[in-house]
Order: sequence, then structure tokens, then C-alpha cells
Amino acid sequence: MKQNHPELLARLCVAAIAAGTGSVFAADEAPKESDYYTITTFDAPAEDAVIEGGAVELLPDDRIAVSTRRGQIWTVENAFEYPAKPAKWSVFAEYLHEPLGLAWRDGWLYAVQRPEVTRMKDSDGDGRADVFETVADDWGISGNYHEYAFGSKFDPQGNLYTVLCLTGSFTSEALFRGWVLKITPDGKTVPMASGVRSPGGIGFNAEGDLFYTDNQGAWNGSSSLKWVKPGAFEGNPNGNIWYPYTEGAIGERPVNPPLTEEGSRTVTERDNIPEYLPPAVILPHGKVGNSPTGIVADLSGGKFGPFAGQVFVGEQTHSKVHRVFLEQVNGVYQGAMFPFMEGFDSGNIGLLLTKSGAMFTSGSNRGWGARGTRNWNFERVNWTGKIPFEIHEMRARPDGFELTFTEPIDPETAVDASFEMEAYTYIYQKAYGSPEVDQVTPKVSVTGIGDDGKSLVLKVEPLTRGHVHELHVKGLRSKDGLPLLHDVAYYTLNEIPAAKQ
Amino acid sequence: MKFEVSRFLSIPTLAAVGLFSIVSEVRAEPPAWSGNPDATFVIKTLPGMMRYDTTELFAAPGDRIKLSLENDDDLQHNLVVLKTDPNDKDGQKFAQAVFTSLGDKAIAMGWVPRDDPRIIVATQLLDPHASEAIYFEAPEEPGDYPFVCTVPGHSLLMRGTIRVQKAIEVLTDLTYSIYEGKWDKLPDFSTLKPTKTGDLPSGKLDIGVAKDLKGGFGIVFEGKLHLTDEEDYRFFLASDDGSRLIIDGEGIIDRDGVHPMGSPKEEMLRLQEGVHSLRVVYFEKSGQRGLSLAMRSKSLGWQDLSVQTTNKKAQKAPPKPILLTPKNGEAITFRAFLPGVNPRSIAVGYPGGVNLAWDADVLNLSRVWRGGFLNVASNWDGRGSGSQISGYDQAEASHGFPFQQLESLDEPWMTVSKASIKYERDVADPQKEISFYVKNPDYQFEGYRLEPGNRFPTFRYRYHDVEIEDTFAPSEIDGREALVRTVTLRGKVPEKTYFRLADSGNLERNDSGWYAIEPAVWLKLDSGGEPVLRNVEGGKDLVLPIEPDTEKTELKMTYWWQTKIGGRVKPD
Repeated sequence: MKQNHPELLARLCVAAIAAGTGSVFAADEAPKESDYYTITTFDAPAEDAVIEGGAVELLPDDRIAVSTRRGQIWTVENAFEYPAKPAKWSVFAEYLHEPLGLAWRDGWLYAVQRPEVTRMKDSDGDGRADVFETVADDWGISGNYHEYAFGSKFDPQGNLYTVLCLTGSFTSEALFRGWVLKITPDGKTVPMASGVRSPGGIGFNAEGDLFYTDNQGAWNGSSSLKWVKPGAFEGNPNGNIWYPYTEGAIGERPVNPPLTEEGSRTVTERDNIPEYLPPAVILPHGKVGNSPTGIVADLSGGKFGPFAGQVFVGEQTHSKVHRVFLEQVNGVYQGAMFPFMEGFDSGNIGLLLTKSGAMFTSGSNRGWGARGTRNWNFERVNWTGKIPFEIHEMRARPDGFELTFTEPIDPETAVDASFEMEAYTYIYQKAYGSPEVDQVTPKVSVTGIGDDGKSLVLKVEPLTRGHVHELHVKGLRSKDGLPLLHDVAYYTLNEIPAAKQ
Repeated sequence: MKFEVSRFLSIPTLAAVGLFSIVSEVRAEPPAWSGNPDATFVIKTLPGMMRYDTTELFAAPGDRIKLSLENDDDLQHNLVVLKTDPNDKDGQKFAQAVFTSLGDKAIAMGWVPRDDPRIIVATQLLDPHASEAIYFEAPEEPGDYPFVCTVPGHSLLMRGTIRVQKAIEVLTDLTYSIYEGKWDKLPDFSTLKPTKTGDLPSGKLDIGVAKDLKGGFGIVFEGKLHLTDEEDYRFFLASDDGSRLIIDGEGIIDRDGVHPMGSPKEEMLRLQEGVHSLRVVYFEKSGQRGLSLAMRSKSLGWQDLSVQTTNKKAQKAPPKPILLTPKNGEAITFRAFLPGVNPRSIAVGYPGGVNLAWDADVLNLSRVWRGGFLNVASNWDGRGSGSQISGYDQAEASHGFPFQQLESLDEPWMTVSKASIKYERDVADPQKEISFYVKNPDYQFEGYRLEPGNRFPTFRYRYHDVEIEDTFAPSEIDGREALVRTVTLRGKVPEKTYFRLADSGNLERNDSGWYAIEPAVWLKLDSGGEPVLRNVEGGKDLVLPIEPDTEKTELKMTYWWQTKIGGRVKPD
């Protein structure tokens, strides 16, 4: 469904005429996120209610369930229609231990809380859960507040996944801290991957592959979106002490990355440690956010706008949602992160994107702070029906990138001067975080424009394997004369595709 | 109302103001140095929380210390500073033994066995809203010296540590430069000319170097900070007027502007081992003046970096209490980290002020208490640390797993299922071992069910092939709180299985069938068989043989608080 922007264009024309030029936009007249996507902020259900969301789930009767860091599970009626219809909030369960995963299956609501996976049910019909069954508790906790447990939705086989934060910032002092675990439908716990530091969410892409977000810190030069490939080592070696307890579920313990002060690089250690999986998409720390969280795929088939099949990632500190394009090259996931929306009321943690095209987000700023100034938020994002002019996809090519756009581009502006790129990586090291290092400033040239007028090919010299390729697209305009709503993309180039023979 | 009960008051005065105190000895005179101590500490008791507000103090060997205890709680408390003992690091055993060692005299002695050689110094038993200052010299031997409240049951939560640490040279090559001028904000000192410069060989910032100036001056301190470990360092800066802390050229704490001292501003940062540059810029406009800087780390402990010390040593005020209270005749079943209970703990508050903690790591009742339920502030307002028990008269139930097969009655009881592993923190050749919980394969926690109406939980777990339910109901005996526990076993109980009833307190049964597991809390087995008193490795315990091959077994027992709140003996 294509939409024009009559009133927006009118505004822009007025601005352009006023400025006496044909192409300069007054800053306040440039397209805004809110022209395309709206944020609806829900009021507190009661004066003393605190909805510090950790996870959000859709129930079969179209109610939304949200679990909170204070251990409540609320349900919300009319969450899709609010404020046209009043939202009706009810407490389904209380006093769980910081549940950060919520998933519905076969009449039970499953929550991943610090000590266990619990499923619950209201057996007497009073609207409140009264049966709490322990589904799985085969991991350790020592009592440190860092020991968060995030949970996924169910996969088609009925498995649930949990990702466990280390004991503190640096160490793993209880069983499987720093691991991703699979919980099978019969409650068995199967270790999936090690090397986790401090996760913020776990979820699937549109193809059903599992990803989690990991925060900048020791062995994470930047925060990133990581692929949970079974048997993978995700980078932080301190949880690898638990390999003897995997009972053969995955292979042998990987060798350690260098424990020296100077550290190493991801590309180097991929050669040394076969199990080491590089971050799929780096979310450059400080630039785009500080703390990535929930992961949802757009399975709405276009009801949420032009990004069907892509992935959205929450961001707590900057109170944002990112958009991510993923592709596999040489068997490894990589791709680009684009800004999507900012200005949420608090630090987003739990995300849900329904097939009907509504995104729900809920979170809190407790403990770490967020740009959104409220202590908690429960918000809904809807597409207005207007298509923003955005980079739709950014694909790696043997000698550069192919960009596709959501709208036809103005070929006059698709010139070399419209593109700027810098590339960099991070130190892979035991110390906390990393500066951007090994900077490269490649030359970018436009070598082709697609027949559909919605894509172009960039030659980038040189491409650097393992580097984030940060692309700025300042001068490009759509056919309608609009600048990009977000003119930056961050592509993590783990692999350079081979030229076709 | 608040009144100071200092050591200078005579006994008749005390008796006049004291609600309960019976003071049996004349208090010592304060030492000659009492007006000029090396360190002054104030510890308050927190109302309704069974806690001291301060749990960690730092002193140098031989420091002359003035310690004031301000009892803001509605119960009597004391504070006893103890010598170190490797078998009783936190002083809890000492506190627990007071009841036994003093017997009938305990109340009159204020729960303090004054002749005990472990005691360094002790306050009197302070009435609610009373306070007292005590004076003592820190031991010459560096170490961690525990302090506890010895009123029965209180030491479970009311305790802390005085860390005595040798002064080490952290700050060297310290210089100062004085500038004159009147500012409202820190000026750019690099554009100004100092009127006086000099060295501070003491290694401590001292604004006394400008004592001749009436006001309108600034000082720049510069020195070398020597750190022995890479770790997190917390810095605390307070000043009147403005100041800024700069380390390695980077601004760390900013207290710019004209203002009173206030409480120190705190910032944590990670620093590598080695030498770092430290710079503090300070200005004084007029009126009161002051500058204090301190730092803290795991390996260096507390270090004052200025002559003027912060009165409250690094202790942030605890968050405002959030007290959770059962309402509408319903129990609260709350999963949280709780002090003294394994991490998978579940607290239950019943209407009427009876509470318990059930431990899902060992599938057993961990402790019971009465009065307030929980203060969840550090759980709900912080990053998610533990909650605090807010009530009184705690008693620990039997430690460890509830059931065990005993081949002989000499076999010790299994308290927790643990393994050990070489701990790693980015080292190639790990040596340090840590122990960690592993699940006991004989047990599986299955969750809980809340009863309709009152929402009392029934905990469910499996032991071998036996399905077990553990449930509780608040009750009352002689007008005092009680808790009735029913443990129901369904399925084939293995041979030689025992249930452990208790392992602490007085395990001799009295004439009416009660065991005093705490002075204030008694336990009685109502049905289920005849318990056996054992003396095994690890101490005495009371175990109950379970009939094997029975379809259903029910054990019933009662926990009873048979005293008035506060551990005092029930008046006749």
C-alpha cells in the first residue's frame, strides 16, 4: 500500500519557497518519526501501580499480558483500541521474582523468573492465577542482583529459551550463568550456547532463528545482537567453566580468547576459536544506545509498515527501538542496524509485535537510568499508513553494499557525494568495553541504480572484514524530494560475500 | 520523644526515664580523650526493620573511637563489639550463646555478659528512642571485628563489621596552590597565578593551608594516587563551597557552586593498578568552609584522602522502606532473595502477623517470624537486591533438606547440595575454588498452589517417588501467635527415611511437649510419631522416623511464640 504525503509536501514546499531555494528544508519541517509511527502511552491503572515491564505477551482473547520487575503480571483489555476504548487492567499474578520472559501455550501462561520457569493458571475463574508449577529450575543463582533470567516466546516445537546473566559484571559463580538454555516441552533443560555476559532480551527473527542482545562490558567492546547458534561460544569465556555439566548436549569447551591486557580482535579469534560466533549486528555503544533489550520480528506482513520480515530491538538507556536487517553470509549472520524510533517514556525492556501490526513496549529506568524520564512505561506503536523514506535493506556485496529503499529515489541525488562511510571495530578483551579502533575511511561510489528506482549499488573501497561500516546518506532524496527519515546505517561485516563465478 | 542516655547519667535518672531498664552496674567514666576522638561513628537502629542503618565501619589500628548508638526502633537493642573469632566471624554464635550463658540474669545484664573476654566494648540495653555513646580504642591487630545486637533473635539481622586497616600510602607527592579571588563557580585556575604553593607530606588534602584567609580563595591539590589492583573504586567528595575531583585528567565528581557541605557525592569508576594523577580543585567564597575526600575499594578498604573526614563513612542511607503487608485476609507469597535463606527463597506473610520463609533450594521451611512481613525497598527500588525481614522474633527451622535416609542414627544431616569448581575470572590457570549449589537428585520442586479465599500456599515437591505437600496455617495459643504446619506424604516412602524437626536451640522436651528452638519460639510435634534426639557431627538434632510403605503420612507440628514481642519472658 503506497501513500503519498500531500500535507507534508505542502509544508515542505512552503518552507522551500520561504527559504528561496528548491531543496533546503527548514529543520522543523523535515519529516518526523511521528508522521509515520505513533506512540500511544498508557496511563497507570491506579495511582500506586508500577508497570516496570520486563516482558509482554499476547493472550488468545486479545488481552495483552505484561510482567513487571516488581513481580506482577498484569493483563490489559482493549490494549489495541486504547484510548478509543478505556484500557482495563487486572492483576493476574503477583510477587514473582523479577519475571523477564512471558509466553502463552495450551492454557498456561509461562514466566521466566530469576529462579525458574514457572507456568501458571487461574483454576477457579476469579481472574487470578492460583496454580504455579515449576517447569524448569536447572540453573544456579547465588543471590546477586545481576543474575537476571530473560525468556523467549515458544518456538514451533514448543521449546522455550532462557538467557542467563553472569553473576556480576565479570564472573560466573553459579551453574550456567552466562549461558543460553533450551527448555523442552517436557521440562528438560538443554544447554545451547555459552559466552553470554549481560543479556537484555531473547527472541527470534522471521526465519525462526534465535537471537539475544548482550550489553557492552567485559569481552563486549560494544553492545550487540547475537545469534544463538546451537553450540556457539558468544564471546565471554568466564561461563565456560560449566561445560562439564552439559552432559554432552554440546561439544567440548572452546579454548580461551587471549587473556592479555592488550586483547585481540574478533576476526583474529574466529580463526583461533572455531566455536566463537561474532556478534551478528553491533549496536555501536554510546552512538545508538547503551543497553539493548527485547527482540521481535515483524510478522505482520505489512500491517506494521514496509519492514515485514525485519527485526526490532528495544533500547533501555536511550528509550528507543532499533530496526535490524539480517542476512547470512558464509553461514554467519550479519547485517545492518538502523534507527527506528525514539522518545519513549522510559527505558524499553520487553517488546511484542503482533501479527495485526501493533508493537507494545514496556520497561523501566530503575537501577540504570534512561532518557525517558518516567520510571516505567507501557506504550503501543502503530503505523500511520504513510511510508517513511528509509533505507529498507543494506546487503553486503563482494565489493560494497546494495541499498534498497522504501520509496523510489531521486537519481539526481544518488551521487557519490551523498554517501560517506567510516569503518571501525572494537578490541575483543577482558577489560570493560572498548573504544572504536582500527578506523578506516573507505571511498564510496555509486555504481548502479536499480531498474525499480528503489535500489542502488555502492562500491566501497576497501571493505574491512569484521568492521562496523557506518554509512551516512546525507544528500539523497526520494523522488518526492524528501530526505531519509534516518540517514545512517551501521553494517557489521563479519563476512565479505565471494564474487559470483 | 528522644532522650540521650549518656554515660554521665546516674542510675536514678536512668530508672526515671527508662521504661524497662534495670541497670545492674555503674557505667565507666568516658576516657580523657572523649572530647577529641580519632573517629566518630553514629549507628542508628531502623524502625521496624530489625537492622542497624550502618553495617560497615572503617578504622585504623589504635584509633580512639566514639561510637554512638541511637535506638530509633520500638524495641530494646544493644550493640556489642567483639574480638575476632575464626569460628564466629559475624558474632552470631556469640549472640546466640548469651541466652544460655546468662540464663535468668540475662535481662538484668542487658543481654551482655560483661566479663566475657571476647567483648571489646558494649552499650547498655537501650530503651526505644534512647541513645548512648561508647568509647574504645580500635585493636592494634588489623582485621574484621564484628558488632551485634545480643537481644535474642536480633543478631540474625542486626550485625555489622568494624574493619581495622593499617593506614597505607595511597596519595603521595601531594602539593597545593592557593589562589585568591571571589567566585561563585570554580574558575579556570590555569589562567590564574597562585599566591602560595607548598607540599602536603601527610598525603591528605588540607584546606587548613589557607587558614589565614578569611574567604575568597581557591586551592588546587595535585598528587599521585597509588593503586595496587585493577578494580572498582568509589570516591566520596563533599565541600563547602565548590570542588571537583579530577583523575587522570578526567572530571569524576563535580560539586561546583556555592553550597554547604551536605552529604558526600559518590562516583564509582574502574581503575587499573599503578599510579594515577589526582587533582582536586576547590574554592571558598565566604562563611563556613570544608573539604572531604575519601575512597573505597575491595582491596584498599576505606581511605580518607583529606584531613577532614566524612562523618558517615560511605554508608548511603538505606532506601525508604516499602513495607509489604498481607491485606484482605489473604496471604502474600513472595519470591525474593532474603538474607540467611538460599537464593530460591519464598516468603509468606499471613494475615495476623505470622510469617515464614520457605526455601525452594532445599524444599524446606527455613525460618519463621512474627510482626511485620517484609521491607522490599532494596528489591523494588534498587537494581533488584534482596528484601529484608521486617518483623521480630525469628527462629530458624531445621536446616537443610526435610527428609533423608539414615543408614544409622550417627549419620550427619545433609544441609545443602553443593559442588565446587575452579572459578575463573579471565585467568589462564585458575586456582581458586568456589562452591556452588547443585540440585539434589532425590528432590524436585514442583511449585505451589494458592487456596481459594485466603490464598495460603501449599508447597509441592517430589522426594524419590513420594509426592509431598507442605502447608501452613496461622493460629493462636494463649493469645500469642502460632503457626501450624502440615507435611503430607503420598507414595512409597523409602526405607529408613527420617524427617528433621529441629537442629538448634534447646532440644530437650519440656513437660508439655515443647522444644524451645529459640527462647521466644517453641516447637511441638502434634502428630506423626516419636522424634529421636541425636548428637551427631554438626551438633544435636531432632529427627522423626517415617513409616515406609504407607500410602499417606501426615506430620503435624506447631511453632509458637510464647513470649511478648521483643524476646522478653512472658509475665505471669
